[in-house]
Amino acid sequence: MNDHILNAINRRTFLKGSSYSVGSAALAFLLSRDAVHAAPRWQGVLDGKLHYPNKAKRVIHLCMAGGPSHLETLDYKPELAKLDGKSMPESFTKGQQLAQLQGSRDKLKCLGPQHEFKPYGQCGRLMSSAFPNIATLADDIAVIKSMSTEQINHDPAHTFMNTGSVIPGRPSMGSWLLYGLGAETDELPGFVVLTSMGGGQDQPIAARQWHSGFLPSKFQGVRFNSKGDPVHYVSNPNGVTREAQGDLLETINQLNSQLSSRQHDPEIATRIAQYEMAFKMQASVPHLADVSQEPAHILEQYGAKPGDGSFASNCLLARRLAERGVRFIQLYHRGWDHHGGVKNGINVVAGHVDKATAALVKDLKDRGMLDDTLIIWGGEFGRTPMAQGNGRDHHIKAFSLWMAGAGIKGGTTYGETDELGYAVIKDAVSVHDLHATTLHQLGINHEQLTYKFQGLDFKLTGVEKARVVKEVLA
Amino acid sequence: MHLKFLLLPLFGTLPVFAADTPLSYNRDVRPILAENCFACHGPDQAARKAKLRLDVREDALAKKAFVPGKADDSELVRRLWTNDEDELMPPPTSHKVLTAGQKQILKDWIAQGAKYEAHWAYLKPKSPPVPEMGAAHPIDNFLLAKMSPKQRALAPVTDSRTLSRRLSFDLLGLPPSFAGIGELSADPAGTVDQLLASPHFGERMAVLWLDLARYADTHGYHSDKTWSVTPYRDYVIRAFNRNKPYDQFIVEQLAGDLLDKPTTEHYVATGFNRVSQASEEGGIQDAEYIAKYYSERVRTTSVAFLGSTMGCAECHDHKFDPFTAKDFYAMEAFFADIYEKGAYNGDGRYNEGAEINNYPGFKLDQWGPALDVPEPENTAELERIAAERKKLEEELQRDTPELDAAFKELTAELKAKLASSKPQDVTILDDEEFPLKGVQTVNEPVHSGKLARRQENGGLVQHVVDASSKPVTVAAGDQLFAYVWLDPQNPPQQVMLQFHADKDWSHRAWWGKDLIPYGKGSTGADHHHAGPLPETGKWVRLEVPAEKVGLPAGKTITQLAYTQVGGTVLWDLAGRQTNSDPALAAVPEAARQALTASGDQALTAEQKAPLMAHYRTIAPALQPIRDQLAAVEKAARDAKGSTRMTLVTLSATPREIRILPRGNWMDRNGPVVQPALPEFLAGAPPKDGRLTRLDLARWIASKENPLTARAFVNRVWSLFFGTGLSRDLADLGNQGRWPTHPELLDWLAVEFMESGWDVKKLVKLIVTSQSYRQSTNADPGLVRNDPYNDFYSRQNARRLPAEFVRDNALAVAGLLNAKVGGESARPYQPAGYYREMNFPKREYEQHNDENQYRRGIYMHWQRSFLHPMLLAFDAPTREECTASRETSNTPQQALDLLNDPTFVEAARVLAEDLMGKGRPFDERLKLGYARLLHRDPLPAEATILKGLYDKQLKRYTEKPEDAAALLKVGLKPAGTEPNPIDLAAMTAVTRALLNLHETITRY
Repeated sequence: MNDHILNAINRRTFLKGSSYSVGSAALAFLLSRDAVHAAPRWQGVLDGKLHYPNKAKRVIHLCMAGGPSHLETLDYKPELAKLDGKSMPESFTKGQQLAQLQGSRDKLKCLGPQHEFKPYGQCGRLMSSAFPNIATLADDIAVIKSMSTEQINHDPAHTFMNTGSVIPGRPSMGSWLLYGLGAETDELPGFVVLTSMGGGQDQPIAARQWHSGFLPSKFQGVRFNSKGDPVHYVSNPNGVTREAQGDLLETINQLNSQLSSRQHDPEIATRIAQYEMAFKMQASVPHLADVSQEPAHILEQYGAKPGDGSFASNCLLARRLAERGVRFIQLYHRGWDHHGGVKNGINVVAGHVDKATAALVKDLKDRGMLDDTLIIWGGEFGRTPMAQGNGRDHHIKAFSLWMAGAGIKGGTTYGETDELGYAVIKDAVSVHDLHATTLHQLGINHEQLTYKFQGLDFKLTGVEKARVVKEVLA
Repeated sequence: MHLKFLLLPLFGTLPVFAADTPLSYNRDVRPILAENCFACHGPDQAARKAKLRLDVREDALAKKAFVPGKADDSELVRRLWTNDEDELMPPPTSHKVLTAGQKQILKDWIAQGAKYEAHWAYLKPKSPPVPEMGAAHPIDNFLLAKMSPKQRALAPVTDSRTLSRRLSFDLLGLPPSFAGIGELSADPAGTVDQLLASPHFGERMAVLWLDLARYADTHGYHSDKTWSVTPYRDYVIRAFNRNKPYDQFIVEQLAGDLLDKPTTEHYVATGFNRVSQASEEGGIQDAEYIAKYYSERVRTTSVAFLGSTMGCAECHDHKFDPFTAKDFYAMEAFFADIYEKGAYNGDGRYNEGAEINNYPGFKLDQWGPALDVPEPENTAELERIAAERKKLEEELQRDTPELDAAFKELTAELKAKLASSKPQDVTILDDEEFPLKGVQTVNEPVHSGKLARRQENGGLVQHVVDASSKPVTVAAGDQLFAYVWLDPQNPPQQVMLQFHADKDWSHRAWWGKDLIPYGKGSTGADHHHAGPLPETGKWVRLEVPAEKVGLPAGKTITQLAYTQVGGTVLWDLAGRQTNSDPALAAVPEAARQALTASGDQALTAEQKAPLMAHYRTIAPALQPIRDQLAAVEKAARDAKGSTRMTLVTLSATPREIRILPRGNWMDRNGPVVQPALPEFLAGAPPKDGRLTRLDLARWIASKENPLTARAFVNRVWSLFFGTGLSRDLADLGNQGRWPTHPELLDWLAVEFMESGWDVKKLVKLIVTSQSYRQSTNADPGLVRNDPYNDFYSRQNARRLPAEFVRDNALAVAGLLNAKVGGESARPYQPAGYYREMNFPKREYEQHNDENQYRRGIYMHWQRSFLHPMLLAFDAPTREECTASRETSNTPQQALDLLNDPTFVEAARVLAEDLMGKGRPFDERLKLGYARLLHRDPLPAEATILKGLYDKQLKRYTEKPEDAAALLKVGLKPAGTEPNPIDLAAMTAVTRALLNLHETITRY
């Protein structure tokens, strides 16, 4: 039986189940909605007409917020080890932008890799031993070592990574996807954001990172909460049961239907449909968010404890969201800003993300979902080969990330940095290229997904030329 | 739906292509060229292909792009129809495709002679004659004139209840039941006047303006802390209420500080320049953020006032409009004098030579120059207090023989004490007097106490001690000191002591090499060089006179910072060396010097002055006057609850502005530019010498400017019809939309300017037209022919803006606190909503008093996490200038109206009110409908709601504890009188009413 049918059955089961039971009239009303109201699900501006056959149906972006050190994760630099404690050659840094190290420009010292690298998988790629579980994915993932960005501070760098622009007010990746493709769910938002922290300075993350910018606000990401209502206002007020709320919804929609017979206003039909979806969300969101229904071995595999708000629980939630047709799922883990103590910091943050990340990829694989789920794992920038005490400062000239699933060629390693990991020297990949590649896997030509705003055709990949990184594609 | 509207060509439905009508370049041709050709063959020189530009006729002719009158001989036509992919225009790689109709237009236009016109919006509007269509109102005549003869009619005027609801929401953002207007009289103009005179009119208009001005209560980037700019918001409201002429409104906001003898109001208005986003993120560079702020101001100024999108010209010449990159940076240069920093994290520097003491009456907030503004209602009281204070101060200064005698005694006494007393050390920090967050401590070696603080780093590092729990007040003659031990194996290059006083860190002393960026370059108190690095391997005392770091007697230190570059340093005991004798300690430095200098001699007049001034502060004989003064000062302070700080624009030394190649702030190779108006619009500069913000403001606010009035009038029109006469409210330029009614737009713009930029008159003119009063319902055939209502032959139904959705619910429940202006309000918000914020972490604290029920426009506007209700109903975050809001229709809106405690409480309070004392259900309902929808319930509606009510009565009778729980939602307690079961059931009814589409829609 395919997932779609299973989900449909589940839906009906829980609507009828005692804990979710609704007044019979309300239930009939809800289940008849497709026939009655002509407000079909948004199919995206492409309306199903993809530019290419798609490999990915959805994206899970594991955003390692704070700026993971590429030098302790994915980009091994033995030469840097040799220069540990020695002066950073000035030829690398002269005239370059520095962040907090700006004040000690003439005293820059190298900091050797703080973790051991070993070859993993059939491909034998060198990867940090601090992430033993992610290392087991070596042959599933494609690593890009030649990323660079334009913004050296967290807030604007996230904005750039998410929207392709540093000017606020531009739509984020997830919003672009909803605009282009819609989602495959009527009961959940199509773009969901989950957050966790631990392992370093927890730099703030602003809601602009999942804002729809100038796109209609229905394409905004919805942040799920680990405590309280998973989605704002999804719970009934105190003293209002599901049945009573059902009565209310039925009344509202009946009165709105009456209005539509007197008023020429197409928004009334949409309003009715949105109330129905809201009522469904009130049941489906808590159901979705309740990971305690997962079997013990799955909880163990992820390292998730229901309700703990951890990255592990969020990974498990991500899988559940993916199963339910959510288009773009973004997990922020705020714990990678290792200005000091990068060695231990990496160990701590690995404790939060390593096991769960690997579990998510394997779980999706076991369920046959990895084939159409694109996973992106990485941060907003990298970190300096230069020491900041025993840590590393922000760095924009080079960083690494990996992708997996949905047509990504596992085992690939793409791009190179110089011997100290300072700058990209081969096969550079820009943030715009990453966006173009992501859209490509979803069947979209990034040049053609545009929206007119203030007289211009805007696109996620901006005005500079962007390319699909075909080298990491199968 | 809305999206499709945006994607379809506006004139797809209009008969503008009739063969006998000559084509208009602006209306018919330019939109096609702009959309498809100008990107490569337009104003942007760098992007131009084949050196061909099509936006200038002479250039196009010179390159033989076409032959006027001979379409078939024209290269352009050939390229449109060719089958050769290499020759086809637009090239397939551009993904632009012309329709057959569009190609034909270009061909016909060439055949008709290929005449060009300057872009309509860049030509000064001329008042066209009002068409004579037989209607009484000019607007009606303009609209009727555009309709096709077969369908030349306005929809019938809507019923008077709908109309009063429409007017009430459109002019006040509040329901008619609150505004106190019932059915309209025969003369709606009377009602309009009544509404325009309401203090809530300004609030309604401010919603439009605050989006443009990107007003918010927090600074935006990264830590996104609250700042104080509410007086600016109130200025905007007041300006609309007092009908400030729009030209004056513009000048005051952009350059009020540069006016002759600016008033407080003028300074408050300049908050416009300062409410843009700012950052204090660690590690940011001053120059980078200054560049961000300047370019943001150009974007905002051009969109907000001119309806022009100059933003594109930051990186290259505009591709579609004649704005050049030079125009962009020359516009930036107008703002180069704004007294500000790029990085508000301690690294940033204010403009060269800027010193707040040179601007009497202003202060330096963490976010730059600020002003304490008296609440308008307290101005008279504060003036009275000031007069009284002046009188008392004069009295205090009066000389009497008795005073002189006592003064001589004091002088002798102080001299004696000075000869005998010695200063002593007072500890500020030794071990753990204050929280030592993130600081490593060691027990060995220590200088004193149990701990020393160890700090090691390869680069710049510091720790900050927060002493605000026990602030340190500096006395005259104090020395500030700290003990340090420098590691001989790993010495630092520089050490620095920093003190935080008056919200300012610019009190610094340093030893060693000059590497630390804070204050670098200055030789003043913000960067006092106290000497070479001290000896290593032993405890040494770093000491600096408090005066040298800008801390005279009376200043209060609230934080201390210990900074080093490189090395290992132990930091221990910190304190001040002060005179132990309180009488001496109280003597200010100048007076002390006078005492010392005079020695055994009598004081000279010059020496006497400072000491006498001190004596007047302690002389027992003057105690009654001082008491009175203290009382007056307390009164002033009490009234201070009635002053609010606001950020203002002050003018300082202009920074150097260069053209930044491709917008790159690190590239300093571009030429320096001076402030200049966009050449193609403004012509020759208005004067010789450097132009100022005031010149910019006056040019924008001039009747000669073709854009200003059009941009504003277009937006005001959209408030009352739902769409602008030119659809893109942000952009009147080449890529904007040709107005549906260009003559009407120009006529309104000219009327507006000629009226003296009278906003209320403009509003009245629009809403008294029959066009405004039309029904939203129209003949289905008409709707089919004109789905987007381009002819305005009916009114447009519109969902209320976010703020008014809230206001309406509170108003009908009788909960609304209708106070105008003041601090921002914090209504209920889901717990933990700010958990992703940091530096500092914070919890939202809702208001538990009458501020809970204030209008939406006063809601705390947190840029990075806007209140979920505002966000759900399409309010912008105001990180950038926003010219128009989307109107979405989402499940989040439903969840919010259903379950947000604001709406549940409003429903409950409304329900109780409707119940009255034993009012029967049908009367309750009638009352409720009157209040919410301004009409009676229809029988079918009454039946449905009665059904709901009965069902809930049954449910709550079965489970009375549910009723009790529901009645506890919200701060306002339920009355004791109503039966809780009945009230809970009635609350279900009022919740239904508050959720109706009709309730949140203005028809």
